Amino acid sequence: MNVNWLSQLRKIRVEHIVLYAAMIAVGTVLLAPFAWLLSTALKAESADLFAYPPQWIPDPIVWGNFVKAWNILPFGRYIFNTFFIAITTVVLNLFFCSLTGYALARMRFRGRQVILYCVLATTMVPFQVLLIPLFIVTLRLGLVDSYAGVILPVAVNAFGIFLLRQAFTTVPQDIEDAARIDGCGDFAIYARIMLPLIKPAMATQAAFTFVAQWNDFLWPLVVLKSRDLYTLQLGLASLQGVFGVNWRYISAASVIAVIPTVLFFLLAQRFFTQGLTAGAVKG
Amino acid sequence: MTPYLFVGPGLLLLATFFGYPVLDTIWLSFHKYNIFNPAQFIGLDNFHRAFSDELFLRVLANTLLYAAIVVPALVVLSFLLALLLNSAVPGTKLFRTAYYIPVVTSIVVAGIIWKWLYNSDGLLNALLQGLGIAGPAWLADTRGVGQVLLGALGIQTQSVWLSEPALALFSVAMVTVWKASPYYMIIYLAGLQGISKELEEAARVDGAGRWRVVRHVIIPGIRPYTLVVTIIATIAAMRTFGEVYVMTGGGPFHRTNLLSYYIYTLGFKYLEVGYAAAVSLILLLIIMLFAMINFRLSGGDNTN
Repeated sequence: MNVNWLSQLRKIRVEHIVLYAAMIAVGTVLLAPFAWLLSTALKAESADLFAYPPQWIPDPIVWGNFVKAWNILPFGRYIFNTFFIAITTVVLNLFFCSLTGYALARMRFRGRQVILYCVLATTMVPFQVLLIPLFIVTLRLGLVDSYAGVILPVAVNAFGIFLLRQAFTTVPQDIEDAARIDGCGDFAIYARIMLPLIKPAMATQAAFTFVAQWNDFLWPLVVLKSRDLYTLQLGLASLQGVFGVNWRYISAASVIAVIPTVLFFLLAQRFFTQGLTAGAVKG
Repeated sequence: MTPYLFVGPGLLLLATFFGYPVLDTIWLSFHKYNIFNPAQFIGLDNFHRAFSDELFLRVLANTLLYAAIVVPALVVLSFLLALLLNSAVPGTKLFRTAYYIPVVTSIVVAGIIWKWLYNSDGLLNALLQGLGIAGPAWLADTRGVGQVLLGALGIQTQSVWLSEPALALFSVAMVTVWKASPYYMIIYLAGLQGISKELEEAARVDGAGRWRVVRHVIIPGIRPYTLVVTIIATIAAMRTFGEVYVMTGGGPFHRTNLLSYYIYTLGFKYLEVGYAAAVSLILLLIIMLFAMINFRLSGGDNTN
């Protein structure tokens, strides 16, 4: 490893130094807004937020804004709600998408092609277009202002079905035949043989669904009414009224809300880039 | 029977939460309905109303302007980002990860951050002050971007040609560009991987400089990806909601009000359910039209 690293180091030339400088400069511009958010969150009540020139490193650094933000809003409750909604959605979504995707990939039945086209067609219609009738359906099912109302409309999605269907088609027929000879039924083949073989695709779908649900705003905004059920994003959006224009608290609360997503992304990042390129273009 | 048991649950959910709402949108668009009273059939009145509703026309124009800013900016910037990160030097992966962080940030957090940066005494104007420029009220400025730029040079103009897009709309668009460009960068990076190194090398041997390689080898080679980025970015621009909700509420004077936000206010604030459905259908038609035009223009039919 060390030798490898050294030989790589030797390859670094002037050209590369220019490249690194450019990458660092662009990265700084892209991420500076986060640095400013953190800086604001760490500034004391006495510090002038509008001081000129801008003060990037607060002096003194205070943590009190986080405590204050945490105490004013029921953050524990919001985080629990968001986690519960996101995890339940991931589990249900993986189950329904894989079940549907499996049949579409590996079973022959009447209407299969039609179903596949219908599933693909649904990706053409953006969620915003359906917002109001979707709310009406949810209302008629008695699911407004409940966890289920947030979760069920996204418990299956076309992208997931398609992604998992593609993964199932790559599994060799021999494996399925062998399992059938060993006496496995259809459901056992799906659950015990096939699912473990498409783990990477499942992980990608799980990662996307989790972050999408953690960050989702519009649908929870429409369907959740009681503050007890609020997600982190809803709580955060309602903050601006609660704190007036105290940017220290608002920033601290935003930092609290963004850290879990960023951490999760850093841990699971390879699944994100895999999924993106899998879904974008073939070849 | 078994296959139907497999596809059944998923399809049932799709039918309930997708199929039915699609049909319901169409049905509602021909009715006057406010949830509390029974729906009343009014034919095409909702559509007639839309095209004489000045606010709708304003919002429609805003949405098209917004897409006209966001889509080209995203195509160019994400391509440049991808070119920057496409080298084989050690550590590029780390940069890719860092650049991607705005994408996984929720729109609420992103909106709050930028509202704070755009504050009239905020960071952006402090930086401009350093250059000796008095910064504008970014999210509240109804002047056109052209008027603001000329104003900075000391030229005052009321020209209608320079009054669009409003600076406020442009400021909202920049947030979208900041947040989404690393997403499209990943798509472009995948595309760059597919461009043959031999072709690049051959061009270089023939004496082509870096710019000419990009112009004559990379850009033509990456066209299918540009098509994908354009289509996805256009559809995403048409459905923008969070930026508006968090940062401007559609103001000032509806200059940042976009179709998705308008539909939301129609449906949930004014309970104009039928009219909102008609506007939703118009939005859907525009999106499909754009997807088709993009596809045709880029000669998408032969990239399959």
